[in-house]
Amino acid sequence: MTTTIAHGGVTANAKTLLGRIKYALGKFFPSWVGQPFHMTITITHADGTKEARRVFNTVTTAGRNGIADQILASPTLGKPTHMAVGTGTGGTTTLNAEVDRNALTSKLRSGAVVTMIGDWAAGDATAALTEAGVLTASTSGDLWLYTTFAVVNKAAADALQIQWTLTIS
Amino acid sequence: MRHKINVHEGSATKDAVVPEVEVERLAYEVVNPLFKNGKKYETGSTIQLDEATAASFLNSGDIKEKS
Repeated sequence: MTTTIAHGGVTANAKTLLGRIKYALGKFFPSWVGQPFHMTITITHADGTKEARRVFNTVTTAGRNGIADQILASPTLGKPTHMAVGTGTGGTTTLNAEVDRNALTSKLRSGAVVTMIGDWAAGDATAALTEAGVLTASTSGDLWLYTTFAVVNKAAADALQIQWTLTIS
Repeated sequence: MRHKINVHEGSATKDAVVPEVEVERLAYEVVNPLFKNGKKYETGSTIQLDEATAASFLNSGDIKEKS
């Protein structure tokens, strides 16, 4: 079984010097570089081989508001419950060209780190994917986290998993 | 969708067809509107889902077993 990991930024060119510097700095100064969260996209092909890609992401205003809201005695803003993938770029309050949205497979906290996982089985979300997001509802909802990435071709027989790590720092 | 791949064996070439992946899907009733594979499913409609995907939607309360 082969696993390939690429380190990348929000732009299509994941191997630029800038991308590598941002990734390295983000590990030590996540807030300073404005990328306090990361995600890993893993495609599992029908033959069992895997391809993985790490990507920076954007925390939206809705996401920041939502995190703050959870501190209140009676939060009124929704929590992240679903993850979506699409074929567009430049989403701000929703994905630009959403293809598919699934309920989160899991959502766990360890210390100040919350890890959210979304899974797409074979036959689901088959497309040349370029964007993903975490939202607060099964449709519409608030977009908390968003990112774009170089095309990830999910074939019909492939399975897709996105692991999104949210670090409060 | 069926994919046709050229397989080279020495100097000879032949075609191999990768079989479609058959995913078993069951019918569920939509509780909260869903957006799946480019299509919106309204409350009360029926959606066909694989077991793993259905498990997460059942857990979130977006679907329920058909009665």
